[in-house]
Amino acid sequence: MTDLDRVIHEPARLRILTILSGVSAVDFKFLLSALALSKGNLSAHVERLENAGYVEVLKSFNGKIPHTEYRLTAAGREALANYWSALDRIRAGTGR
Amino acid sequence: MSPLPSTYKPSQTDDPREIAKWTRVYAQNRTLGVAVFLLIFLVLSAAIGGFSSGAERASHNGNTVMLAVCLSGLIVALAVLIYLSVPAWGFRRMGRIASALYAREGRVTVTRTWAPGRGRLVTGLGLGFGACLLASVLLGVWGYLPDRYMQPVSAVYMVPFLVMLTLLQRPAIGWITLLWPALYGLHAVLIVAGAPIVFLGTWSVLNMVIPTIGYGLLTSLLGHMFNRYALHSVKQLARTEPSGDDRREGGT
Repeated sequence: MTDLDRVIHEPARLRILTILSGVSAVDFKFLLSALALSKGNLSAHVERLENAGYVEVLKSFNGKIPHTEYRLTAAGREALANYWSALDRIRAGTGR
Repeated sequence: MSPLPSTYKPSQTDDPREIAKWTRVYAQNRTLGVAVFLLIFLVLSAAIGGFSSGAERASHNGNTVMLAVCLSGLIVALAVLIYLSVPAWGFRRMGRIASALYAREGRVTVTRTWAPGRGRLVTGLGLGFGACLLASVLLGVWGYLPDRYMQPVSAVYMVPFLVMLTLLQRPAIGWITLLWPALYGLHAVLIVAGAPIVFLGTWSVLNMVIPTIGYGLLTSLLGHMFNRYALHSVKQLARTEPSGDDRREGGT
């Protein structure tokens, strides 16, 4: 467990990063519907990922309606790849 | 694009790493906008045909009111058709239709890798396609191209055009789009081989409508079905029970 990133290890955050890793950008609405989290929960998780430098937040307006999109940063991509590698090592029984 | 380690096996269907794949499949197959667009084209084509024959009959009978109505309708339908056929306007409109259709689900994008100089390639492709289309129509009108071979001849430029259109938009759209040119080409081969799939007389218009709009509709509907399946898979894999960490962070 020692080499698993604690920010990513939380299930909801891991899933947010995994969703972002498959595409270029995703908006708040999609994450909300895919993960079935409350708005507050989702915001808190995304904020934590943003603070860790794993997610980039892009705010814009659709007319007068605010629109928020998220992108995985290079650091986030690397951290996620490292996380899966570490998890695989643990599963294979080679991890510490 | 997905940072999956080499030890990852795609067959692990309950693995959360599958979420990345299905999200991508979902984003690449939001094809319902194409179906709506093709239906609009079908309606416009039918309207143009209807107004043309209506105008011809009205002119023959000396009914000036009906002639004016039919000609006005014809001009409007043609103007809309031309507007939608210009890639810069039509594609933008199609994008808006797709966005509106999937608006409830939020926005997911896969950016296409648009290398410098591709704009000129797209323009060249469009002009080449237009020239080929015009040439085959003129050959048909002048009687050099029998109805029976209209579709096989059109496949010579239509199939590469549709394939290029898909390749140019990759990875923003999925491989399923290639089904359209594949079916179009197969249809042409079957006609040349003598298969009884050629419509004659008043139904001869279907020789072009089925491969162009019919296969396009079929492809976009299959794409949409794949999109639904992908969304279902994403939700199934991504929905988790709130953990203790969730509660500590002030969630419900």
